[in-house]
Amino acid sequence: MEASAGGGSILVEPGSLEAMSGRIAGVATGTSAARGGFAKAADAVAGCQEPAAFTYTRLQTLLNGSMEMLDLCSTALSKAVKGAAGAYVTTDVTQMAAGSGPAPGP
Amino acid sequence: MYLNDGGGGGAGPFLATIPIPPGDPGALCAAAGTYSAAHGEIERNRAALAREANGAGEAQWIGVGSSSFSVVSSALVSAYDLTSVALAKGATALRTYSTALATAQETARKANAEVELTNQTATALLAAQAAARSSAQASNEASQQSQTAQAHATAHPHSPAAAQAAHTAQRTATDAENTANDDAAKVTALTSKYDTERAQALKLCALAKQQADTAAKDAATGFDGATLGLLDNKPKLAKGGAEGDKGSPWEVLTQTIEKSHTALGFLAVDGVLWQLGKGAELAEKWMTDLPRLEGQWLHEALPWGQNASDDEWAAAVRGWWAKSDAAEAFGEQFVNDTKFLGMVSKWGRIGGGPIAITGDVLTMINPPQAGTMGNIDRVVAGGNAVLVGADTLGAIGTLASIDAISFSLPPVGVALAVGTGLYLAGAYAYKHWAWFRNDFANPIGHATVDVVKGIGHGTVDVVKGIGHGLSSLGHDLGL
Repeated sequence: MEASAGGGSILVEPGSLEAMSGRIAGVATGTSAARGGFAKAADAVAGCQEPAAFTYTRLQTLLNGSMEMLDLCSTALSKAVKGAAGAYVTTDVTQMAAGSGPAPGP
Repeated sequence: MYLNDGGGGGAGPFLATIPIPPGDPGALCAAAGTYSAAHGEIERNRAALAREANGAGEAQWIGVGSSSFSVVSSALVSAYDLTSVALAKGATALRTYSTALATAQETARKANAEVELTNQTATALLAAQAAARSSAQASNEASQQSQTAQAHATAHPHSPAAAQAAHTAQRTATDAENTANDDAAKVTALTSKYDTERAQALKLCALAKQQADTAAKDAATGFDGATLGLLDNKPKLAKGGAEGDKGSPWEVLTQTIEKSHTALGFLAVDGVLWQLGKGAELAEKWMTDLPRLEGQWLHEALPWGQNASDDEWAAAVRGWWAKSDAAEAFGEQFVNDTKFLGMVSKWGRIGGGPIAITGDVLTMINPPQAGTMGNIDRVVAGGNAVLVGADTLGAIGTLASIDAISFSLPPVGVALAVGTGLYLAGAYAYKHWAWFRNDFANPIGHATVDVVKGIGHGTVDVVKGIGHGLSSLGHDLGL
């Protein structure tokens, strides 16, 4: 589908975006799974000598947070792409409906 | 004559064993595997996302939405890249630490085995020394008896009995001397053996300690290297052709999400992205406002001007405790549920937010240094957290001082206002600080003094989990 407006043109194939959304959702799922397994390493330094234990706990905490952030952002991005596909479909249907109406007068 | 190894517990010629360096190399190795697995998964996800970031054109998607997607996905790819690298570095550091710690522990075991061997030799040496002393004394006595018998034989040259006695005494003295010499030789040999074993044991003890210290320091360097890489704020091109040209990818991601909010708005998903940051902010505001709100609740709950009995006052305070507990529990859960969501909007501003509170909480729980310096770390971390509790402190200060007069109390006398202020402070402390409850039966003046003393500690507990106004983790790491 291609449309033109005052700000430029839009070229999009909603089906492709749907597929892309699915693949990005897969990324989010994979990230979430990685984070779930990653949590098992939290106690690895239990009883270890300082400063190793403290610095490891800090790294583990930050990595856990970063992976959660990646998970959330990937999920949000997947939903955004899916929303975009839906929005384009809606626009397409609306334009088609508008295009099938009576022609404007002179 | 003999020294201990300094490890404590040794006495006389005996050495004390040393503690095995703490930690589980197996657990560290397993964690390295976990890190590697996570690295592999994150790397696969990064590559997959990079393909999508680069493939938008192939999907025949051109326009404002495509541009927004490109910006967001590129930033995400960069963030995935940093996380992937940090996981790989973490795995390497864990693996290295596991090996080094196992080596240190093995050395310590060898050292302790050498200590045991040395102590066995010391036992034998002590016995040999005692035997040598005894045989030397016997030899001296036999020698004296031989000299006496010889003198008697000389004085009686025609006495066969005297001559025989002198001969026998001489032979006994010679035998005793030989025995003493043999025992002395044993002492010499055992002393040499002991010195050698002791030196080896002490050497291994020192080596084990050095290996353990080095392993821990090297591991810390490796872990911090991974952490600093994760927080990298240097311009860097991401793999897969993704863009990463505006400083830290986390910052880029944050800015991207904020800037793309409008662009993505028409996709009806802006609320999701925006909420990532807003949820944490709302949670923080809730917890920040809570202490002042609690004060207001207490004021509203107390039966002012109603000639209430002591029981009615106590019931009002108990009701306030329950309400405040519920509010704090909700607020803490609110913060917990949203604190990492807040990274989306705050990661680029490392100076504030959940990361900072995490760093300080970690410092309080587990300071990097032991002993006095560890306590100083705790105080510093606690001091940072106390900053967060400024509102709480201010509220207590207002309630507990003459300012209570201006607290819009119902028509009560100044004396009662001041007394009430003290009561309010006491009630607040009673609710929040268990130690204070032990003193609650004491005169109110004493209790109030305790409140003032305890404020510095109490606010740390009151405000735990709140994330602003703290020193940054970046600063903590020396960034």
